[in-house]
Amino acid sequence: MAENKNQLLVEVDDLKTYFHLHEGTVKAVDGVSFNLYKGKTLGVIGESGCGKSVTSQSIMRLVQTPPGKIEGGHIWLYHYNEDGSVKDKVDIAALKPESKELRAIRWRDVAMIFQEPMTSMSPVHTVYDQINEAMMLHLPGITKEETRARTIELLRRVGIPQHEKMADAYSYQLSGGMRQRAMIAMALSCNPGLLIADEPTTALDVTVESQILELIRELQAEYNMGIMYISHDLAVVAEMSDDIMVMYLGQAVEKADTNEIFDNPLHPYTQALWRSIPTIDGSLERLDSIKGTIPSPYYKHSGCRFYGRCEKRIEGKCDESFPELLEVKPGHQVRCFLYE
Amino acid sequence: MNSQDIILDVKGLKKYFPLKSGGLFGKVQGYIKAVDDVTFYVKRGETIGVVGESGCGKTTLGRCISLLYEPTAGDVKVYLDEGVLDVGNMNKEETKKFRRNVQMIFQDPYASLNPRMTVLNIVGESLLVNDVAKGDEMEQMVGQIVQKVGLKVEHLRRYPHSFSGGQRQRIGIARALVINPQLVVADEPVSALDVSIQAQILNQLKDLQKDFGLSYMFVSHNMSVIRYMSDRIMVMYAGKLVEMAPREVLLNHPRHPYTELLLSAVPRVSRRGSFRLVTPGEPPDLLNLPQGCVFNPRCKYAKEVCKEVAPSLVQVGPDHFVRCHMADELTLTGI
Repeated sequence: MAENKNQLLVEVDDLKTYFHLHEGTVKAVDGVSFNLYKGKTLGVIGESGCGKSVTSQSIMRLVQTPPGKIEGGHIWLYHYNEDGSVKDKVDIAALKPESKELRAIRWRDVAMIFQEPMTSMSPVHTVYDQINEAMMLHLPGITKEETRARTIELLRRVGIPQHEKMADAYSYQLSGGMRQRAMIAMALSCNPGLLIADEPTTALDVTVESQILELIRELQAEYNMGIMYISHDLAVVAEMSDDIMVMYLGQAVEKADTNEIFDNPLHPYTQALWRSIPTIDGSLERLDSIKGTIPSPYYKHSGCRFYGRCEKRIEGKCDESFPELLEVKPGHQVRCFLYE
Repeated sequence: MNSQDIILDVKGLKKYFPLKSGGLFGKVQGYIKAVDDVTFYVKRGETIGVVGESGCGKTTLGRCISLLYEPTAGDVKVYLDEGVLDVGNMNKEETKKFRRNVQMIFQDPYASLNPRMTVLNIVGESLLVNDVAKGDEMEQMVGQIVQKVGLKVEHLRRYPHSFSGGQRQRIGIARALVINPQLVVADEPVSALDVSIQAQILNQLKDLQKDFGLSYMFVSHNMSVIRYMSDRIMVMYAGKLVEMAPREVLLNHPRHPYTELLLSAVPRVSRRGSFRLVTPGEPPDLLNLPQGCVFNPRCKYAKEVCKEVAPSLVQVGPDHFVRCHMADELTLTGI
């Protein structure tokens, strides 16, 4: 089989996911485009309300309708032939909710792990029951003996001790780190091409976090998965990602490979973010804080969404027209008038 | 040490929570030793950072120091400008004096402000109950401190729901500082805030420390934040203080294997793409602590003695204390 590392798995094109609420429309994701490749990790950084989680939920079609709705754009999922040529592509954004086609994609093509494994696993089913259910639904023809054997093998692989016994444990009987490992085992059960990890270690202690991060990287190397890694923690994203996308208020403001974006950030928001975060090994100089607060999601921007907090804003320009995300050097895109 | 230089002196502090069997008259089955035999001091005008993972006792320790919990045992002395308070044996008058001088900032700015009180009443309450000021005088004092923490006077009549998380945390800071305390216990004051807001609050706390000559006990699970804020750092594990040292010493020359593990686990922007060594093991189960050193099941340097005898806290350098049998033999890696 052709194991091409740069095979395109998912192409998100101008995705728009809005929430229609009493108070107005929240454009949670407003024209975001990016590609996810086999064997590579895209890190998505942003603060609360930037749309990073809604983006990933749109790919899995987990956005509740109403109030949420995908209002525009495409999420192309690619399938390949044995020889590496494109077999077909499906627009996930256009599939009917709860349709057979959608169900076939979830877990088999795209799987997801969540921030809080306690609330994303059922407390009244054993670990095996839940992994079994996922496989029974998504892998037609599989037998109970096979799912049992595969579950135990997966639990062993994710580092759960006494994996045969733990398969019959309930999620509340596991510690936070073990629960997240079980969640990862479940996500891997149908051998997905793409794994979406939405803040998977935020609820964990730092020593356990490092174990889970290492596990995800090992599994990626082993199964050649594409990963979309979402976090607000810059250092975690820096350690995990090949490429990084920075989001602010529903838009991508900067995209580049990890080294480039940390060594040479261009967008004033990215620059300010890098300087405002205390590090374990960097400078101890006074932190630069980003002034102001994240604007209300209902606010109607007449120009750049970062205008009100930006130190390099150009009055009369940045507040009156919308900057585009442009490639300013090979592989480095930024949404800012300073570079036009 | 000269008691002139220290504001808080804690010896052998313990806080045990009883574990009861079910039912109304449940018998005590045992104890969770949330804080077990912790000895430390805080110097005047400094920040001591308390770091550790969940369940290590750092929050319980902070709550014991600010008397939100009554310690099970231990000797806590507070050296104020107007005299010494022996926290275990205070009369009513002294307790009031203690409350005026030791204040706390809480983690969750959404849960720690009464939604039915205005900012004026939230911040002014401690002035009222301590008979410091009322009426117009109170409003003036509240107005001053509110401006000092970066809010506006016109915010005074508003309720907490109309503020963002960062602003709420500023209200919490104003409430702690309005009565002009000398020691402030800050329990994870930025962990509920967005990253772009964290720096604002951390810088604000530093500025206020300088302006008012405050001493901070700063509790956090985030080693990077602790490093930015602290002069000295104490590391806790399973209710025990395992190491305490000046910041640079602790970060560059740790002497306890758990400190080394903790430092190696902190994610770093500079460590892009490279794999790191991961130590197996899980945070301790407080109901089933091991014999001997509490860290021995996860410690890669553990010897027989570590499984049998609990080490005691020993001084290994200026202001440097460590609880490890092997402290003299090991060369550990810092950041």
